Order: sequence, then structure tokens, then C-alpha cells
Amino acid sequence: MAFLAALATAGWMGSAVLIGHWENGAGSALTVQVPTATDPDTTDAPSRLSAAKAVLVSTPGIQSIKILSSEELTTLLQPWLITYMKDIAVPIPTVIVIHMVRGQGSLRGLSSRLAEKAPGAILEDHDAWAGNLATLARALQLCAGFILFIVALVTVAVIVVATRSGLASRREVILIVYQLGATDRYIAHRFSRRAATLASIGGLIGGSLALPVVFALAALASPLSGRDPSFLTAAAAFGFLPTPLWLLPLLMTQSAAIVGYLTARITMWQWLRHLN
Amino acid sequence: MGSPIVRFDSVHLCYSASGGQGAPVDVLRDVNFSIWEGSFRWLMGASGAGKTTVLRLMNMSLRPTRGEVTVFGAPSGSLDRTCTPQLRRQIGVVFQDVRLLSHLSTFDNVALPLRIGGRPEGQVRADVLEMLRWMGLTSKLVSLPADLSQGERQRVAVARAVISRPRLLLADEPTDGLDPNQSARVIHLLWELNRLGSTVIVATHNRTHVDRHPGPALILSQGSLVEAN
Repeated sequence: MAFLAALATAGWMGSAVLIGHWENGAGSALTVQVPTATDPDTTDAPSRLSAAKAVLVSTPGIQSIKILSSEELTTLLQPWLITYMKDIAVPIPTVIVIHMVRGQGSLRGLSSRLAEKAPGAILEDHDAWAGNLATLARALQLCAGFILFIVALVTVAVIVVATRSGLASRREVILIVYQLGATDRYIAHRFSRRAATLASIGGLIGGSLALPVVFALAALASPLSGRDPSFLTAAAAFGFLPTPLWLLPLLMTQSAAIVGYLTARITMWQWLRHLN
Repeated sequence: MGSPIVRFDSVHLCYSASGGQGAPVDVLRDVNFSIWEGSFRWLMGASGAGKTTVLRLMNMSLRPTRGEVTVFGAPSGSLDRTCTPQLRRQIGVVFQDVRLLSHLSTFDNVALPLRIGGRPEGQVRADVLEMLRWMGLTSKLVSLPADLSQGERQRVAVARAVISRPRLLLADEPTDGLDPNQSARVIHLLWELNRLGSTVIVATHNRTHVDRHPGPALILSQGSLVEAN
């Protein structure tokens, strides 16, 4: 249960990171592709590039403009064209990355102005697909939250059953301890403490086992957040995962202990009240 | 002499036979007596006379079907769950069937009443070691009840009952399984406790003890009190 809860928690946090990246990064970015000189359909590429740049600079609401170098383009294309990078015969357009100021500026008319001043230049708005990805990530968050809820319910049910079973088998012991003057609180605390200890051990094991799985999944998902997948050095890894995820074993231990203690305590209160 | 520490007023107790389907069985009938604080009483009668039932009523493990049992001035029938443990901590009980906790060692069984009462662990250790030394059980500190003889278990039960110097001590056949020397030591211990101020009630069918230590007695026969002095 702790393992599943840790994965669900990590899924929730990871989705939040991706949503933030897409909405604040890709979602606010545009690209303009300007055909190169080798493109048979175009002429005079350098002036076309300058014209496109001039249009962009004069457009309100644009925060920054960056022309990607050939090395940067290569890096961008590499995940999809690793084997064929050296042999590509298709002309690669110059890509200009534009960051808009959120909530400001308008794309209306930009496409037509680019078409007029820099024929062949293509404006790509990532907002739509970034928005779709963010929606997908939110749906995943919801699923993770639901899984967490189910795991918590099952955990509580298991502890209730285990506590009742333990109480039933120790009924005579409890009656003797009662006759020696023990209070409900004394008896409940001892049982609950044991349940909390066992639950925390399970939480520590589950949380620890989940950590490498989380790390591996984060590495697989890293291209989606725009990170270099070859980050897998120890130093880079520490900065990659959000800090709360590194605390998963501790988080699961504490959560399991609290859930175990409270559930056992409440179960015991109810059982002891009916004890004759 | 102080105020009655235990009082039975027209106490009647019956059980339903055969799991509630048969006719009720009278275990005690119209029992009336008072026990004053600081006194020593023998509780005598043949097997099945109701001695254990009387002690269980005093320990508030049972409620009377009719009548009233008052312990430490409080009617047991009107006590709620929060008050009963406090009163029980003033009562030491030697059960007829010993009732040691099988998963606890000799030391921990004897220490249990002190720990329940919240005594500091250092004091618990000192008191328990002293008691077990007196009982001749020093070599059995870490033994579990299953590893003890019947006589040793009985002595551990007595040690547990008296360790907290209870205000009221109820002993149900405390010398069962003990040899004459050990029996004499236990009875002597109970009288010593009484001399120090505890009210002691000992249920026994062993007339030797009563003859050796004559004292006031409650005599039960078939659920009725036939003699009280």
C-alpha cells in the first residue's frame, strides 16, 4: 500500500511539474520557421530572416526572441532523428523561438504580417497542444489523487480488521489488565502504538522501494519537460527531482504511522466500549 | 475502626443457565455484610458456595442482579467507565486461576500494576526486585509463566496483587499449589499487609490457615451467608 501511495504521490507531483512547464514554458512560446537558402521554394533567405525578425520585434507583447543555432537545432531534433542526423538531406529551416508575455499581446495579424514581409515563414502556436497536454496532466493528477484515496481506504480497512482480530485474540489479556486498573486510554495507546510502529515500517519500506521507480519514470519523462535525457549524473539527478519526492520514504513513514495510530485508536475505542 | 470499605446490601445474583435458555440459577441469595477498613476477614465455604462470586462483586467485575454492593463508598452499579479503573487500582486481586499474562516475564507480570498506575520505571524496578526476592523468585525474573511450576505461578500472582500495597486485597485461594512453608509465608505476608493498613479478604477452604490465624470470617453455604463475624 505504501509503495502504491508513494507512486501515486510522485505521479501527482510530477504532473504538477509538467503542467507548470507546459503552461509557463511551452504554452507561452511560439516558433517561427523561416525557410533556408537551400530551400528550392524560397530566395534570399538572409533578408527574409531579417524581415521576420523585424516583424516580431515590432509586435507588442513579445518578451523575447531567440534564433536557434544549428547546434541547438541538432539537439532538438536528435531524440527523433538520432541515427540519421548526419545524413539528413532535407533543408532544415531557421527556427525563431518567441516567448510572449502572458496575458499580453495578441497573435491576431502576426501571421499575415509575417506572410507579407517574409513569405514562406510559418508561425506555430504551441498554446493549443500545450493546453491539451496540461489537461491530460491534470487528468493524470486526478487519477493519482483517486488512487491515493483508494489506497488510504484500503489501508484503513486492513488496519481495522487486523486490530479487531488482535483484540479478539487478546480479549482475556485485556480483561485481566482491566481488572488490574488499566483505563481504556492505557490499553488503546499500547495497541495503537504497536499498529503505528508496524505501519511506519511498512511505509518506510514502500517509500524506499518506490524511490528508484520514481527516478526511472522521471528520467523517461524528462524529454517531455524539455530536459536533456542524458542528465543522469548523480549531481544532476539531485537537482532534477522535486525535493518533496526525495522525502518520499520519510513522508510515507510518517503518514503510515499517523494513519495506523489513529485507525487503531478509533477501532479500539469502539471495541472497548462494547467490552463487558 | 473506620467506615465500611465494602458493604453488601441484600445482594442477589443469578445467572441464566444454558446460554440464556434455561431457568436462572441463583448464585447468591440476599447477602448482607459490611467489612470495615483495616480489617482481615476469612471468606469460607465449600466449593461452589459463592466465594469467588463475592470477590468478583467486590472487584466490580460483576454487578448484582438485585441489591447493592458498595466499595470505597461508591455503589458499584452506578460507576461509569472512567471511575472504575481508579477504584480498581486500589484493589489487589489474587485470582483463583492465577491469570498471569503468558507473554510477559515474571518481572513484567509483577510490575504491571505499578506501570498501570504510572509509577516511574526506576521505582518499579526496585519494588519488583525486592518483592521477588522476598518471594524467593529472583532466579525466575525473565521466565515466562509457562516455564514456572504451579507453586511459582501462584507466588507470582500473589506478588502482583500486593506489589502496589493496595487499600483492599482480595485473595481467592492464594495458597493453592504451594507447599506448607510457602503457604505459611504467603499467609504471613497477607497478615503483614493487614498490619500495615490494607483491608484483606481471603477466600479459602483450608481450615489449617484459619485455625493457625484465627480471625473474623464470612461463611457461605449454597449462595447464602450463614455466619458473619
